[in-house]
Amino acid sequence: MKSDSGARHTPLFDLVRRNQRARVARLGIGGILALLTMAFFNVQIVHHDDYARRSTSNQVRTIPLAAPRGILYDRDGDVIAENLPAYSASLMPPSEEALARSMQRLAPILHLDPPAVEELQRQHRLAPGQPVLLDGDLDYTTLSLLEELRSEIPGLLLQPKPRRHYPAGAATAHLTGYMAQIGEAELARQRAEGYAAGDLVGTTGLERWYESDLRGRKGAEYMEVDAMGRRVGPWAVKPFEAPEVGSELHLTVDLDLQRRAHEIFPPGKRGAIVALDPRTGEVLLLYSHPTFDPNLFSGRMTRQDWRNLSEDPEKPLINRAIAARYAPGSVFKLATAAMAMTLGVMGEDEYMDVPCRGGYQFGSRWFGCHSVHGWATLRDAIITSCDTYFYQIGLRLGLEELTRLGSAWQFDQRTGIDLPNESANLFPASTDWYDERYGAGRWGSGVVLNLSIGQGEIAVTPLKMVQFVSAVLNGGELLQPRLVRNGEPPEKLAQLPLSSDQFRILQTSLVGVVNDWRGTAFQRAHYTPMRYVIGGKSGTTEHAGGEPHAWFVAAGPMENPEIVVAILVEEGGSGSAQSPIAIDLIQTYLDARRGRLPDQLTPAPPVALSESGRAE
Amino acid sequence: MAGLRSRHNWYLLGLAFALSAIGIGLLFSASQTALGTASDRWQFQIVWLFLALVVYFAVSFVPMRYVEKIAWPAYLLALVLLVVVLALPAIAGAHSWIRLGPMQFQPSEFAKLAVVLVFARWAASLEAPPRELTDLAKPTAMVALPAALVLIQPDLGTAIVFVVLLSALTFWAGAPLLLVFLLLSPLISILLAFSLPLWSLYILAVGAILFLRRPSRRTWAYVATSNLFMGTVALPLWNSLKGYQQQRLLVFLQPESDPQGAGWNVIQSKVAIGSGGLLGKGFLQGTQKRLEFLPERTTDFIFSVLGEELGFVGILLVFALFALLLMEGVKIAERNPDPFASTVAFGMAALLTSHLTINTAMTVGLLPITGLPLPFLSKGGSFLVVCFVGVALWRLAWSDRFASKWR
Repeated sequence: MKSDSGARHTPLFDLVRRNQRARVARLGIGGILALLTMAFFNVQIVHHDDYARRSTSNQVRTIPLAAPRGILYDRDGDVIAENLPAYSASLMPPSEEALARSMQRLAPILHLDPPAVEELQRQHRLAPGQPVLLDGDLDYTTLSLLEELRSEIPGLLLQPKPRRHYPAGAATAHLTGYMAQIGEAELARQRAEGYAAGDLVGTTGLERWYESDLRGRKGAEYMEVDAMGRRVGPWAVKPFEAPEVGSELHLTVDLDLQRRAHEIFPPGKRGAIVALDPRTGEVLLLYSHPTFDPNLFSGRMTRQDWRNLSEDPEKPLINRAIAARYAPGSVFKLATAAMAMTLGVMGEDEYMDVPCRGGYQFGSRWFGCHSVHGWATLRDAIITSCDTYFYQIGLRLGLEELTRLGSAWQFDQRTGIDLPNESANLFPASTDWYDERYGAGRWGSGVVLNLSIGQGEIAVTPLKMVQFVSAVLNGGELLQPRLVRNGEPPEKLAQLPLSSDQFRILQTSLVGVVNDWRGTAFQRAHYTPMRYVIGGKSGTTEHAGGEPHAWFVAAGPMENPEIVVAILVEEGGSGSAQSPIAIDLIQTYLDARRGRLPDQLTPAPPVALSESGRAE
Repeated sequence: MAGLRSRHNWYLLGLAFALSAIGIGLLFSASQTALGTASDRWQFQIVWLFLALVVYFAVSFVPMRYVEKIAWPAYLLALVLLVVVLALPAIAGAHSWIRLGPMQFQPSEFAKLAVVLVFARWAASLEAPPRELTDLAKPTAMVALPAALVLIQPDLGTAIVFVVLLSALTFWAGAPLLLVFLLLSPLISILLAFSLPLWSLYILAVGAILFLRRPSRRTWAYVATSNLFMGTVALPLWNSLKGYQQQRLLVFLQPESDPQGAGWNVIQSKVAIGSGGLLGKGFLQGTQKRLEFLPERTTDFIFSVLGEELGFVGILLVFALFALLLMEGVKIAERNPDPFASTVAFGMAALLTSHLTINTAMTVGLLPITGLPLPFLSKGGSFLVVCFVGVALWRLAWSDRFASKWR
């Protein structure tokens, strides 16, 4: 090779051609840099917001802080539901593998079986950035064990998490409902409301109805993590957001009455007790039996606990006060009587065409009565619960009027109480209802006889019945029952168009049921010494395959009723047999209102029956 | 003449030094992480920069004709080292590094320099510009040999750099662009072989070009056989790859398909760059970097640290510095009448451009992750030295320009 570079010119390297090539090269380099600049512009400027968000979510983990739930008080300020200090363990693993590794250490400590571990892993997959709840209620030893492990298990969170507690437990179970982990379907619907997997939500009862008021607002702790999911420290931009306490609720119920009902409900039976203040529609007592302990749900319920409850043939989870329907039987005679007086189909002191000879012949059919009552007025018939009298009243009313007035008085409607899962009540809205159900002309005219004594095509909840009897006692106002005192006047749903004299007849008849020697509840009721003038009406409804269901609706003091109680006992036999329970509850309530202590009680003066006794 | 030779191109050196200084700043930042686990000793890079400057001044006193003389020995030495490195135990899954005491260096980096030099020797020996593919057989072989050795390591990125060098230098040596295209056409055939319709169209287009241009019979034979061969062999070759190798290539196409695994690097790099926005999060303030979401912060993804902390403005600044540097390199290649010096200067520009493009495009997901360092900025001493040798060679070719003018 020649050392003198200048002597080596070839045509190839002449300057003009090289200028062209250099221009192509400059264009190439410039083009590449322009393309790269555009790519960076696209990522940094055009899509900056998106990547900035991802950078933040990369680096920040949000640890929700539970909000204390609103406290429930009874009408005297006693606590029905409160929050106890408790600790929860949750895990916010950096990855699924880390979760599996951590679970190997944690499962024995927390007594988690493989299906439970699998469920937790599934929850993690659904919401990877969210902590999964391992245990909502740690005992002290477990808490200290976990405390020691905290440094070894990435993302283990031990947090104070108030636990819902119901001091009266089973006595208020159906009223309060209970808390349970939010289901997937509901979570999908409610995620915008701030719910997350593993959250406890009100699942039944008041806890559910007032969920949005009670839950308050979650707070959050923001912490910075590195790529390995290790905690670096609080996030500098916003380290903390305080939770908001849920609003408290002041209920209309009386906790002592709830407890008393729980104590004296016939053991081994199913049924419900509901009590209202007839003047306001406020629910004083709402109890269903058999019951359960709602505190079980607040911690981490075992599968076995749940199976025991959900598969119990007695169905303790059903709130029989509002979600079970029964034929009202003779209690409904109050309604039939009110309808008869409304339409004036007979005089109040008038006898029916046929006296009671233990039943009534209607066409070819014999409709029985439980006894022989002879000639009776309306008052006599209510006191003795004479079916023969009411068959004839029903015939005078006719099915059309009976169904019309029954639906005008909302026997086919829900009461609208502030509880979830209230059953619709069954009552024929008109004669068309029978046509639809059985086909036109394929039902007999005898149905009206059955309906007039509260049997046949009628099934109502205990709450519905007590709502109606309240209207009889308060001058005809059918009020919407309610559980929370909100300071507003009660909502009037319908008005029974009777005169005050007519109401008086019904009210004195109720007194007679309990206090007249002929009254159906006279004997049983006076097992208990009575300190107030108490009235009532029994109902005994036949049902296929067992003892009859027993109803008793009672109120007191009859001079100006403050409480009306309905008790229903499935297969409880004669309705009057349950009257002592209703009377006991009424007296318990009235004593408490009057500040009387049980040992200072004296029997009430004898009832003056001048008005309420026999008609003649 | 001696006075002219001793004149340094302070402009070039200043640009290179500025880029290196930015690199050291970014390396310092990359070493600052929240939990302090990073063992990245950024201080070493200062020592390396000092060493690179010494090498720069040493090389810039060597006359170009000596450089020309050591081209072939350097090339042979590079080949030997590339063979030796294959025999050494793999480091980080590849036979790419030779360890010398506390340092390690990649022979492939030295090989890139050597290939530029021998190519320039060949270009200088040309009597006429290449007109046929047969004219390019010798330089192609000279580049293909080290490229193949590098591919075995395996180091796809460096192999691609060799391909870029080959095409850029044949173009500079006077070959028509069409000829460069025909030379590379088998590689395009391999890429398109995965879609039969595209490949068929491509083969038709190549056939049409051959028909219109009527090159020699040998060219015909080379282009036709190599294209058809590569096209048919590509699919069986792909199927013979191991699952993880296929995965690596596929993840490039869709990084979100495997966000925790292979796609992690690209996604986190884009998040870092994208969250930087116009002005960046501030020097030392990058959260992606600080919390170690960003992988390979000091080497492959140093540019992402820049994007996150100094934003689009910082990116533009570095691109501008590179643009000035590369344009200056092309200008030197254009002005120096000596074929050897001119080709060397152009080769260095092509080398740095390919590294710059492949590295930065990778950080925004435009190209697959290949692990090529960013010139002057990435951590790594031996490549920094190579870059400064390149600047020194530019400087030699620059002063040579005056040498010929004043003769």
